[in-house]
This record gives sequence, structure tokens and C-alpha cells, in this order.
Amino acid sequence: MLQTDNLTYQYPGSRAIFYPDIQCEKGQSLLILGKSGVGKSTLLHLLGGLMQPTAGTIQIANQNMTQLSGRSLDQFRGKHIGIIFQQSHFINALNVIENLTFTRKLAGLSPDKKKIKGILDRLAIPHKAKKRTDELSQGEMQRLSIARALVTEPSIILADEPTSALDDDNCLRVIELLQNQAQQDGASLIIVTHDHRIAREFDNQITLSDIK
Amino acid sequence: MNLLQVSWKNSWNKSLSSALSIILIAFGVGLLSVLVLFQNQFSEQFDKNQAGIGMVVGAKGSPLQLILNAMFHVDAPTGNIKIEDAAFLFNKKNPFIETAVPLSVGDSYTSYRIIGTNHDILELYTDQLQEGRLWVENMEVTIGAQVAQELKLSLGDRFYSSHGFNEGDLTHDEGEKFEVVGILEAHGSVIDKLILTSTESIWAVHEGHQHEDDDHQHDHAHDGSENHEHDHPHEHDRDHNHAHMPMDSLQSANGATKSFLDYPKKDITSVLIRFKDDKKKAIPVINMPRGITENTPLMATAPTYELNKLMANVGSGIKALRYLAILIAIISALSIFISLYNNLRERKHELAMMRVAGAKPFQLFAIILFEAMIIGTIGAIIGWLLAHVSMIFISSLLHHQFHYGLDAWKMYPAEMMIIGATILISIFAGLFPAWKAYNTDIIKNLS
Repeated sequence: MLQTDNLTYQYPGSRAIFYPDIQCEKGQSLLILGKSGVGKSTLLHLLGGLMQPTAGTIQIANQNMTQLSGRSLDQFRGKHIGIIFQQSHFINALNVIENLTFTRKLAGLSPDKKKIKGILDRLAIPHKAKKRTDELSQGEMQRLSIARALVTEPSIILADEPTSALDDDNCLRVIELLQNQAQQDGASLIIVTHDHRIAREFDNQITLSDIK
Repeated sequence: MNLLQVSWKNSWNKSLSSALSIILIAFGVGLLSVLVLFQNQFSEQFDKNQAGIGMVVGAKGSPLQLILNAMFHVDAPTGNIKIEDAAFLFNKKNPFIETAVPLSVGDSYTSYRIIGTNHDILELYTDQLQEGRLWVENMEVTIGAQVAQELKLSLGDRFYSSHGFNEGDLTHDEGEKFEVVGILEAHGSVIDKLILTSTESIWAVHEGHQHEDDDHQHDHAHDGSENHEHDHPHEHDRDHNHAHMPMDSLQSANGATKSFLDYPKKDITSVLIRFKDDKKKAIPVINMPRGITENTPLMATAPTYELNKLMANVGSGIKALRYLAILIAIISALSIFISLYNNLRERKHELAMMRVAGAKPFQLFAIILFEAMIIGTIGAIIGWLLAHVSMIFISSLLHHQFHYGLDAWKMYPAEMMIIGATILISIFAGLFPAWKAYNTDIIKNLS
């Protein structure tokens, strides 16, 4: 589960951003909405351990992540947090299955081919296992991004604008997919977006402009 | 899937730039390794064949040619010398000379040189018989191990000699044949490639030339000539029966235990001199070559001096090639650097993604460094292989031309140093790109 307390971030020379306390239980989904520039991406970076907050705490899997730094933070992020970015980037020299195996390796986990194959089956891309990532279509890349976020069996999955480039049908399909997969793995799903099309799919929502 | 495997796959992802770097490295390493192999094997051959010879005496001409002909049995002789002029070298009472070995060259059998000499030549090379015995009678030969092996000669085999040193030269196919009476054990020196017989046998084979060919242009080492070219027609040989008449007279002379010194008016080609151990550095010994050259019709030269001069001359060429190879190595290091650095810009997103997935900065550093190391190692190994494969060709050429073979697969510590240094240079070339990867900014590269 995820819980934040008095989370604050201040860019040098700017005024501080104060975030509301967030709580997301195991298997639950949370949508964070907001217009451009309100600090959505910054929040995602803070929750993903990619940036250190100016103040406040972030509790993930009973660990105060703000107390971690360096190697221990890298290791914690690899093991407990899966992040899906708007743009998919993979190691082009590796094929689909190698990308997923290496992701587990970086998180300090065993290759577990069965687990990887299971995720590819669930995401309907098992036939792409041996393909190079630059041979995949946009939709397949999106699925592979989700697969990579799930492959380390994380406590939370963070998704940054996962639907902004998709049409309505695909937009809803991806959200459904993310929710189902997160639920199956017992992970908390947090989506940061300005895309209001998906708002009705989430019971738990926060709109950042309200609290700034 | 570990870091090394990822680096391996990355190295081949941009196969064209990797291949270019590898080719450059291989070329540099190959050139350096060939130079190492060549230099080492040549100096080994020189050392083995020096056989403690302190001075070579022959006809006036090029000292280096004399050395190459008398000691290494390549090149033509500078000419012949009269035994009466060289007799003082064979004086057993000479306080400085331990061994003086006469050599008569000019003939061959399928391009292996036949040397007229005496048994003292074996003292120089401390050679032992593998089978049979040493030559005693005229037209008997004792052959080196390489000759026996390559020409498949065994005891009792008989053959005609050819005039000159090349296959296809005029064959003395009338008169008596040479007979193999002994085979020497392999020694690893020039003696393995020689067919040894008595000086008198060489005279016997060529006696006919002296009588019949006084006015022709066929210069011959045994009849006092200066030149050993064989590019003119041998019309004069149609009535050769040279081996018969002189043979009879020489055999009778030999039967009366005469030595070659009993024929002062006859010719030999050169004399190999080994000085007494305790006199090698004596002033008269040091001055002896100059004294002989200035005061007699002979030319004497010290092999060490001539070979050092030769190595110095060859050495400057080798030095130039070595600098070229080092330049290529530097260019290849630059090529690795440019290739990795450019790739890094294209791969900034994937490196950032690795960091997101939990990669530590040093893991990214290692991936890039491994890539540099992989390219360097493959290039170095290919270069090393190229050098040794080239040596096979060089060896075969040398063997064909001079019967000198090189051991193409012999390894020298310097080669390992070249490979090690190349890998280190490659790693060095990858340091800056690796450091850039180490400092990958996740937010900047994924925003």
C-alpha cells in the first residue's frame, strides 16, 4: 500500500508545491487529475523515488521511502515500484522476453521465465516474446510497458499519462487492462493524467488544481 | 541476462560502427603482432645459426652477402677463393683459431644446397647422426633432417645434383650420382637444410666445367667466378661428362688420405672460423678480419658486426611499422570512443529506463565499459589470429624460397602484452561514455 504525509516539493526559485495526503490500499486504483503545470509529473516522480521531496514522507510497503537514498533507493524502486511512462522506451538490442528478464535482474529477482510468460499471456502478446522491441506496434509497446511494470511484482504501479495518445476505445481498453492486472497482482495503481475521459473508470480521484 | 550479456547484445546492435572499430583494432594488433613474431623468430634463427662462428672468410665482395651465403645458406656466394690463399686459416698451430671449416657451395638437389666441407662442420652445430654414417668417400652425402623429411630421402638413395640453387636449374645428370649414407638428427638450425659431402666431391662434379667451359658466360662459384646468376642457356652442357675423368683422379687422391689442403690451386667458397674461447676478445682476433681483408686476396668479416648492422637497418623499418600500428591503435580507440558516445545519445532513454527499473549508476557504467572491452577484446583476438595466419603465409613463402620455416603458432609474451594493452586502451576509450552513462539523469531523459 501507499501512503503520503505532508508531501512538499520546491523547485529552486519557485514556490513550494504542497500535495494532499494520499492513501491507496493493495489492489486499489487512484486517479490523480490535473491541468498541465500543476505538478502531476513531479508527484509521480516523488512517488516513484526518482526525486526526493523537500518535506513529508512516502510510505510504500511499510517503508518510509524518503529515508532511502543511493543504492538502497534504487533497489527499493526496482523491487516495489513499477512505472509506466507516456512514451515507451526499451533496450533495443534485447528482445521482449530479454527486456523483461533484465528488468527482474535489475530488481534483484530471479529470471522466472514462467512468471514472465504468464504476464505476456495475460497481456495477449506471447507471440511477440522473441521480437525485438523496435519491431512492435504502438499498442504492443504499451502492453510491453505494462508487462515491464508488472514483472517485478511491485507494491505500486505508477502510470504517467498512459492514455493521452490513444483514441477513446483504446484509452478505455488500456485503463481496464491496467486495473485488472494491478488487481490480479495485488498492487496499488496510481494514474496521473489530465485526460478526463477516464475519470468515470475510477472511484478514487484527486484533482491537483483543487489543493494547490 | 546479466550486464555482460546486455553489453554483448548492445555491441552488435550497432554492428556497423562496432565492426569498423573491430577492423581498426584488428589491423593495429595484427601489424604489431606480426612484427613481434617476425623479430623474435628471426633473431632466434640468427642466434641458432651463429653457432659460435666468429669470422667468415671468402672472396672479396659484400660482407653481408658472404655472411648470408656461408652461415645462413641464402643468397649467392661472393665468389671463390684459392685454397693456397686460405691455407693459413687451417694451420692447427694458429693460437687463436679453434675450428676452421671449408665450404664449397654452388650445387643443390631440388633446391636444397649441397655443401662440400669436412666433418669439422658438425662441431659448429654439435649435430648427431640419426642413422647411417658421415660421408667418407667421394659422392657420399650425409643429409640434414629437414632434407630427409621433405625430400623423403633415406639411406642408399641416389640423386644427381643441380647446378645452382633453384629447382629447375641444370641437372648434372651424367656421371656418378650422390648417395645418401647418413641422416643427421634435427637440430633446429641451418644444418637441417643442408646436404653435406666432401669438398672433393664438389670438385669432381664440376671438374668438367673447368676444362670445357673456359670461355662461356656461365659464372660458377667453384671455378673462381664472381657471380652466380643462372639465367643464361646452358648449351655447353650437352657434352658434359665432367664427373667421370676428374672423379677417378680425385678418388685415387682421396684414397691416399689426401686432404683438400693438398690441392692448393683448387677453389673453395668460404671458411667459417670459430675462435678459441679464451681468445675471442683478444686484440689480434678483433683485428683479424680487417687484417685479412687488407693484406690478402680474401675478405674476412665478423658475423656479429654484420648482423647487428643488418638488424639496425631492418630495425628502422620495423620501428616505422610499429609507429604506424600504434597510430592505428590510437585511431581505433578514438573510433570506439566516438561510436559509444554517439550511441549514448541515442540510448539516453533506455539508460534512464534502466535506472527507473532499479539499475544502479555503476551498472550503467559497467554496461558501457563492457561494450568498449568487448569491442577491444574481439578486435585484439581477430588481430592476433590475423597475425598468426599471416605468419603461415610468410612462413610458406620463406620455406619455398630459402627452406626457412617460421613457427606460425609460437606465442611470445609480447603478444599477450599487446592484447592486454589493446583491451586496456579500449576500456580507457570507454571511460568517458561510461561516466556519462553513470550520470544519467532520469527525469531529464524521460520527461
